[in-house]
Amino acid sequence: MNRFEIFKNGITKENPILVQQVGMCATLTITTSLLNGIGMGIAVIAVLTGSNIVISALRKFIPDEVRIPAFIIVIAAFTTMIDLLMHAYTFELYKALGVFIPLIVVNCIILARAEAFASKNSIVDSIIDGLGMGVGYLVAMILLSGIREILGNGTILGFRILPEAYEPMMMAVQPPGAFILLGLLIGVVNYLSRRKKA
Amino acid sequence: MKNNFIKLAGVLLIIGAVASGVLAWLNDATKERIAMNEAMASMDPAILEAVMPGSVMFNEHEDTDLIEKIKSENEKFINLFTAVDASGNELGKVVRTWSTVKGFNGDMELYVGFTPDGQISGATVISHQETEGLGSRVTLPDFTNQFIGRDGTAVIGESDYDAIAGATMSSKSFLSGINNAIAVYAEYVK
Repeated sequence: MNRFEIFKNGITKENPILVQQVGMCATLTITTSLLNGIGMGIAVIAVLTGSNIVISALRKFIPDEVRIPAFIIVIAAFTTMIDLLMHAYTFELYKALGVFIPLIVVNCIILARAEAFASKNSIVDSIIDGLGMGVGYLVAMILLSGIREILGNGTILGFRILPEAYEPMMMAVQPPGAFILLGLLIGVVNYLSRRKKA
Repeated sequence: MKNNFIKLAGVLLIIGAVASGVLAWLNDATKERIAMNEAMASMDPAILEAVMPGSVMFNEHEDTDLIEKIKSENEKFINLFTAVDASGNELGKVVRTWSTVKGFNGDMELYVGFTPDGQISGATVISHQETEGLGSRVTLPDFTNQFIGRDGTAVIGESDYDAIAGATMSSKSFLSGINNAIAVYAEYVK
């Protein structure tokens, strides 16, 4: 697999949200506004790429028997760094995302990439894999949170785009709406990708 | 087997130690900004606006020796702050003080703001035990706004302000708080 394919893989064929459907908890909860979706996406890109680099660099140093605790320490360290940086420099976003920043530690996407890719591949490939998976995550978050913000609030990034007369569809920003819209989004993506193949 | 155990534990120990080292450094580097963010979030915007219009935060005055000195000489004084706007520019000083004359049920606690040219920018009560709906009216802008623009270096006399009818004791207590702030400002800050 060449490097461009590794990158593209995370966005299309193995998109963590739309295809693998991992890390759903934070996805469904915080995508109530586009800004939250983008913020969470960027935090995941940073943790994923950072932990992929370190785990790939240490892959010959970490014995097989203790690899999972070792990965978790590395991932937890990166998550805590992002948590501190967001707390210090993007305070509003930090408050909006709340507990879901520290919960990136247990987000399956990160550990899955460490185990399935970074622990077996070179540093450069692991960076590209982290970025690809992270961007795939970000794109899905943007789609889902954008749709939810438009339907549930009539705005995009806080700017009103639907007329005042539009009655916001409250369900779109509530948990049931998250499940339904994510399901529809996955359905559309599946339909498009199958049509492309045929 | 035994050697292997030591190796496994050693690897984890090294990774853990490096991770903690990095985090300790970053924690130290971001500590101040995080504390500032939290302090800003805990300030009630209504209080900031009432005491010093345009301010987003009261920072404790840098000269802690001065604060200690005022505390030792003025027992009702609580603290001295610098009010800053969103870009960190200084807007004036803020004195936090107890009133020196008891209200109906005890002392009240005030913030009094002073502009750089020595005028009162605003004042508000942050805690009091006055009767709700009567003495508590000293917390309302209708009463407190009369002090805005007053000279912050001269004590305000009892005939120089409008007390709330029916809540004379509460009004006097508020005035004593303002005057204590003026005394502190005139003697130590101005």
